[in-house]
Amino acid sequence: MKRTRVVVSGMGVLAPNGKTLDEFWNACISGASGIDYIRAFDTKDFEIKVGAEVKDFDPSKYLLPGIYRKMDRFAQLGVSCAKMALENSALAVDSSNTSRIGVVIGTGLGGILFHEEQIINVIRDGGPSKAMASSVPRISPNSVSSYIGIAFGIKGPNYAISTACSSGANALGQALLMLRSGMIDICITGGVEAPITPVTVAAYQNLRCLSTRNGRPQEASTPFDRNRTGFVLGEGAGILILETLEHAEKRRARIYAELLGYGTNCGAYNMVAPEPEGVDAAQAIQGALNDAQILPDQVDYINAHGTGTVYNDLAETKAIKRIFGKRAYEIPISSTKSMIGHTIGAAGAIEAIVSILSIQHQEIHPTINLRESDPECNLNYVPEKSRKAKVDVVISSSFGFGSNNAVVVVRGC
Amino acid sequence: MEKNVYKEIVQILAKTFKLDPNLIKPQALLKDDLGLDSVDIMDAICLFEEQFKIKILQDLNSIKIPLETVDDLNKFIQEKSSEKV
Repeated sequence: MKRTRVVVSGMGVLAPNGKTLDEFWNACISGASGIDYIRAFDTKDFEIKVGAEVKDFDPSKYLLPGIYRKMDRFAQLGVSCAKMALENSALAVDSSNTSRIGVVIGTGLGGILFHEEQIINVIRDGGPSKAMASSVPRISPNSVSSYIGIAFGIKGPNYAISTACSSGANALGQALLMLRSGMIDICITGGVEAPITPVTVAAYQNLRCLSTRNGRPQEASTPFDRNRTGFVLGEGAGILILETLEHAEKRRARIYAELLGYGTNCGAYNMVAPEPEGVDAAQAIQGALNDAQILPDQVDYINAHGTGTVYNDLAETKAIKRIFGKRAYEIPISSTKSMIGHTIGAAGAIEAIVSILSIQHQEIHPTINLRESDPECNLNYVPEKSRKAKVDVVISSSFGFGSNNAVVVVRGC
Repeated sequence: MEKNVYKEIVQILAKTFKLDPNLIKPQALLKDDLGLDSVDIMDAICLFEEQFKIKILQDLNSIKIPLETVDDLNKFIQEKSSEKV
């Protein structure tokens, strides 16, 4: 039986270095970093001073006050981004299709900002009467997917997926499976995160996984560099409109790319450290290639997880070598996180969008701040300068806390 | 006193729910005119409790007259404030 093909017909992005697809892509290609000193709160007592915030994000530009005021920042980012993606896809939602449209959004932390504020209100400032009743819907991770449904009148299957750093990629994968099954014709999917809050930054800081390069923020994220010290926490949203090829062709939709394959597993190793030999990550990559029915030789570009931690970058390099053998040294690999930090639940989705834009533009963005080679991370990471290339098949990898691994394969149409 | 309570109710509603104060008139319907849902009303009640030093949230289910307009809220708070006295 022929398998249902799934394509991307719309995209939206809110990233630390760009709030439209064009702005974001132009920034990535030119190596422009969105990392700066944190403005969301006073970092005076923090060791970590830098983060990747979506600058001057104003939800009133995208949504009515009656909608956005009910949401934590993460949901504001997600619903605003969904609006852009829907407009980009020119998809009309009405009674004939609303039940056939799904919403699956990845987020690691949900409404963490509001949660922290409520904790302060109740614990520090005066007891249970200080907790707002609306905390419940605001904090819930599924508030973003539910508000997308509410805002745009979408009534198909609706849920959030939480697998830490691989949430966005897992959401895309789940959407792919649902579309292939025939359960839905269209899916609004992607990832969102707004983790730059005092407790979250403090917790990651104390986990010792964040970059300590506070001197020059734009140089703080250094994936694959010999002297890398950790990742930079980032916020953002990436939303894709997926639909069956049949549905897209019927409505003459613009098709950006095909979502060809998805591989996912759990390494069952450790909540925060990757399995050091990259075995499970490699299996997730192979799983995605098998699902896509693509051979390693056909891959033109790898958009890496590339966080900038000592352990991830090494394990990921080993995983790539396991799958691609000698060709691992030739395939261009780059890390978007070098410019936008680690956007946790949004990362897999934003980086899938980068992968698709790379196909559209036949160009690969650089890994910036890669100044000194690590003898153990010795692959072709496109340091500092973008590169024109033939790009047709791309894999985008996400390896999350909890040993969660998720990889997607996209191909040009 | 009564005028002050009403004015404070308007200020709290305007600030909390990002509403234009000019739209918050006595006969404005909380749901249809101001766009407030049941969770918003509960949030507002919590803020009124703090502002006017009254306890009303636990009585919300036993309220005989429905709170449909701004004036309904005003009268309810005035009544609870006078009970406290």
